[in-house]
Amino acid sequence: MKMRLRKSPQTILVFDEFLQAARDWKYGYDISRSTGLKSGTLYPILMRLAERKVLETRWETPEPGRPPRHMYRLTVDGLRYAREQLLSVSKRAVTRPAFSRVKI
Amino acid sequence: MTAIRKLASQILDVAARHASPEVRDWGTAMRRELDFVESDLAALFWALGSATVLFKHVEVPMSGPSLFERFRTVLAFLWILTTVCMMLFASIKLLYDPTFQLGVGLIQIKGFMGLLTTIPTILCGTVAAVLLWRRRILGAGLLTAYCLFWLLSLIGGVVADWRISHTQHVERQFNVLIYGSAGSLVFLVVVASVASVTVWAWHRASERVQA
Repeated sequence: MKMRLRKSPQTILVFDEFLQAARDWKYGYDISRSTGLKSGTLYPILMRLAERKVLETRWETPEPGRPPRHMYRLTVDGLRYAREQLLSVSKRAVTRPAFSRVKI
Repeated sequence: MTAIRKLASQILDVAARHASPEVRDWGTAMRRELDFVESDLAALFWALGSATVLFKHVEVPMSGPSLFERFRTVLAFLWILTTVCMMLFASIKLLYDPTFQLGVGLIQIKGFMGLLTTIPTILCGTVAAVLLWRRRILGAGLLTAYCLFWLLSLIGGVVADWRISHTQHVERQFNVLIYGSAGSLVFLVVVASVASVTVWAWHRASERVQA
């Protein structure tokens, strides 16, 4: 699958959060809390990922007296893509360590 | 529910209501999550962030706003500025310059009586601008007509004042402006302006009713 997504550090954070429990459904506020991303940053990422079918969304089954919440999880393709992205980021970190230009 | 949380809910409700259909579901999702945010301040920030996201997707009408719609806010702002500035000027002149008279044609007012006419004009100008901005065309038109009358009256007063201070034949010059042909002409212009603005306001109002 060929996807063109902006790999911002925030998107990587979201991928990382989803990969903690890959097949579990997650709520928006829980993702915001664990990644530290504000709603204004998190939701555009979620919207973009859902639009590209990296993320699947569904509404919680309604219970009496409690309005349903929106839930998100990675699709099968999205899971693979998220893993690739995290791997490429960690590889880059290894090949270009911090202070690599500093000569001792 | 605290006032801050209520405000946060209202912000998100309004944003979700005005968002384009393709993101309305996302608006509802953000609104539902708001109930799970623990602190009130965090809830407010959650709502503001979410509203920003939703407003970036606000639906823009295909036809685009009309010329009148586009300049409505600018017109309202300019109108409020003009009325307030000119009437403040008149108030200062009326208070500190005993020779200054506010009036054209048959109307001459000075001193505190003049001041009493300028204060309602400032208020009317402000209300007219707000009404114009809120598309209450008829009310805005009528109030504008009233303000125009006094604005033109003020201009007449300023011209009379200038003539008084720039000529030795004060009485003659003053009488020419106030009662002579020039004064009558100014008075006619004022009446014509009031009439045309009123007709225009009725026309706009009937257009709105037909729409």
